[in-house]
Amino acid sequence: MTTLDARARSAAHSINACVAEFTPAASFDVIAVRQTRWRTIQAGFAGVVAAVLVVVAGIAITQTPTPEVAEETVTTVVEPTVPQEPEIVTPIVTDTTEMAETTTTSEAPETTTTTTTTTVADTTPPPLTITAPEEGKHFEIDRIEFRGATEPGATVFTGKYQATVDAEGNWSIVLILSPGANGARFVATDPAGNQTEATVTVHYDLPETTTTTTTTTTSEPPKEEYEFTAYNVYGTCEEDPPYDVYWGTAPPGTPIYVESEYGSGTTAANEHGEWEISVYFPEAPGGKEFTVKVKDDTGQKYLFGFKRLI
Amino acid sequence: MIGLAYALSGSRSAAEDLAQEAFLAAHNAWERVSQYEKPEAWVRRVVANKSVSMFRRRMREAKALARMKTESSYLPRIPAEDDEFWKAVRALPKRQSQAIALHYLEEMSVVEIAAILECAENTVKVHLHKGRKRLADRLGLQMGDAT
Repeated sequence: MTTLDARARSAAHSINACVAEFTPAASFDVIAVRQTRWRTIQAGFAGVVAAVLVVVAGIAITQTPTPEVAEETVTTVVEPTVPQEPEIVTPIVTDTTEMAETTTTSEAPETTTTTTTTTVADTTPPPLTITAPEEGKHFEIDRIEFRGATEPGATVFTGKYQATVDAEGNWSIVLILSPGANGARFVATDPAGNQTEATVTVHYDLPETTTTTTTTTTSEPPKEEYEFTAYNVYGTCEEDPPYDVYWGTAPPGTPIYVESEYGSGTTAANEHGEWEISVYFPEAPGGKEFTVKVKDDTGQKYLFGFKRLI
Repeated sequence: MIGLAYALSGSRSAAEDLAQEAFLAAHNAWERVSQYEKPEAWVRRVVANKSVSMFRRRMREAKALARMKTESSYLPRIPAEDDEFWKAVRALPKRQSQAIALHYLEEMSVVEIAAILECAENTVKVHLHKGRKRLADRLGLQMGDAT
């Protein structure tokens, strides 16, 4: 009869062999090189953007109204500051209402004309609707397509995942639900940087296990698997909004509460005695560690630290 | 690292991302991580934690689907019998699965596993013992060599 260790060695060999065939994904050296390349690209991009801004400013001063400018307006002078990060300049369309004066002097000194121009900037947040699924809807499958509508040209994100937006502004994205309540927050951003948020909460109900009987539960799993345990995944986060993932075990159905000054959440252990929840801390101050308490309904608790890095 | 991610996540499409994210996390926190005696242990811990996180694994798969990653760019498939073994490992409680993967895949000692999982050596021994016993039961194998 095959032994466990022999089988395990074979399985480990298979994994290592298949990984060896694959291109190495990353190492400290590779990451360092990639970071250096990215910084170079950033610097180059900032230079290109600066050059574009100068050209745009030059064209604007001489004559050309942009498509975003209202009929009576003529031009605007873009702030000549050279941005250091591409994120700062991504919204090329100015997002503030500014007044600028451009003086054009003709060859004849006595015919000086002054044109006062006003840029009507796009400060209107894009519309954002969630057409499916309906608020509070329950599902027995965990892969759900979220759909809605926004302004053509706008982007829609949920967390760091980007939805597909067609030319008419219809967006969609497939998300995987975790058992229990799932709150999805979508953010639409138009080309001028205006944002609109929309949220919807749906529920993933685990299918009933019709074969669950006393005999099956006594054979396995052992009782100790159902002890309340809690772990965190990250402890820090540099994304916006920052979040952490908490997981552990508890008797099936046990409500689990995650509480902190800057964000909270609740879930319940599934039928396998496992639970997991992602909790966002959108208002967390950068650089300051705070305490996150994870507790069950009996008051047993675990404490974790969390620090937003940006 | 990728092998550990593959074994614990079971996802050929997500394994590379998981390992890469762990290295990126190390890079981003390098000021702190570099002070550790064994930075690679920190990365392994991140990989192990990320890999067993079911929700995040699924989200990565969704992301991978969204990217329309081609099948040929996934890790190669492993033989069905070995895949069955790792499925059984993933069905274990998370700490047991992590300990088992580090023990068999990375051939780590109890001391090394304890350092990565940040728990006592005795705790690792318990995880390994229970995990191995359950694997043997589920796969119909004899326990074999001592741990």
